[in-house]
Amino acid sequence: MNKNKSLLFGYIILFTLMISGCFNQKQVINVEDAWANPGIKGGNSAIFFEISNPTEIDDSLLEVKSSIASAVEIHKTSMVDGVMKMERQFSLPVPREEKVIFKPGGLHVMLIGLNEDLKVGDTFNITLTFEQHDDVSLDVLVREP
Amino acid sequence: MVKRSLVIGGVILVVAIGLGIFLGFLHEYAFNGVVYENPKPAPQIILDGSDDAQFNLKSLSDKIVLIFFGYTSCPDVCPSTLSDMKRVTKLLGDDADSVQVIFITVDPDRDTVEKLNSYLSLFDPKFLGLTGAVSDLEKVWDEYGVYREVDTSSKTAAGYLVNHSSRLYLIDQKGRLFLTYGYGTSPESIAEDIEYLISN
Repeated sequence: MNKNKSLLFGYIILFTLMISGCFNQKQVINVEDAWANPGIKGGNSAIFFEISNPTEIDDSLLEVKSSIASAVEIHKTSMVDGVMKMERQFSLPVPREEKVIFKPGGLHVMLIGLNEDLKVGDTFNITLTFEQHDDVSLDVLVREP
Repeated sequence: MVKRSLVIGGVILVVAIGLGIFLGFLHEYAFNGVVYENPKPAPQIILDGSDDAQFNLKSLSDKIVLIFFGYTSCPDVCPSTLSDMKRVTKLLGDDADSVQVIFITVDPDRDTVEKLNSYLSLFDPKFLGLTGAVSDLEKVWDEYGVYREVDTSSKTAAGYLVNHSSRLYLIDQKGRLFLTYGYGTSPESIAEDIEYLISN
């Protein structure tokens, strides 16, 4: 009987821990599939990725930092009658329960003044700063589009 | 009797020719790019090449030429297009020897011959970059219908951006400005058109 009681007690503790773990799990913004175009030292490049905000809080991407270039900016390319135009984005909305996709011909992180050549297969680190959620750091792979 | 055989033979011949024309019509190749109406000789291009030699478009007669107008500081559309061009040449295999890819700058203030050379070598050392005096470039931009505008309105560490047309131009082996492609046309579609031009 005592053995059965101990087992039951153990299960209750385990169950409680599991439940509390679920509730305490902090929802975060995910950034995935980050890649960048090849580039030459002193030149420019662009980073692309997917941001997903599974939380219930609207957020905004404020800036992206990296030591790979002297300046890092968020830009959006748009095509107007076949003409390519770029516009800098100072605060990019990342709405709750939505994805924001950075891809060629659209949103991208512009690397200005590369501190070194970016060759296919290279990786480098970036950090994204959001208005509401914690920073997200990740590695970017240099590859061809 | 001989006359009758001749008539039957003639009828068979006419039907065969008609059928041939009909089948040929059915199989007429539809280009993936936009075909110029009444294709004319491609406007002349004489500029400075990234190979340190003066470039003359006439030197590429008998070759298919793919021309894209862009700039090396462009982070997005230009590298995407150049990567697509690399994919086109890979898809063509040995036939790529019949094709020359040319990248003409829309940013002569920053794009020197040396810069074009190092930039293009990231994609394919056989790609040729062209720059030159602004007046010479303006003539080429104008004749190929390229829109290009320096944009200083964006507050960017890049100094300035250049808004520009993103079309790709194809000159056929006869030296005619024959096809044009919008941004994002798949390398497979472009390679298919080139294969057709090479084999016909």
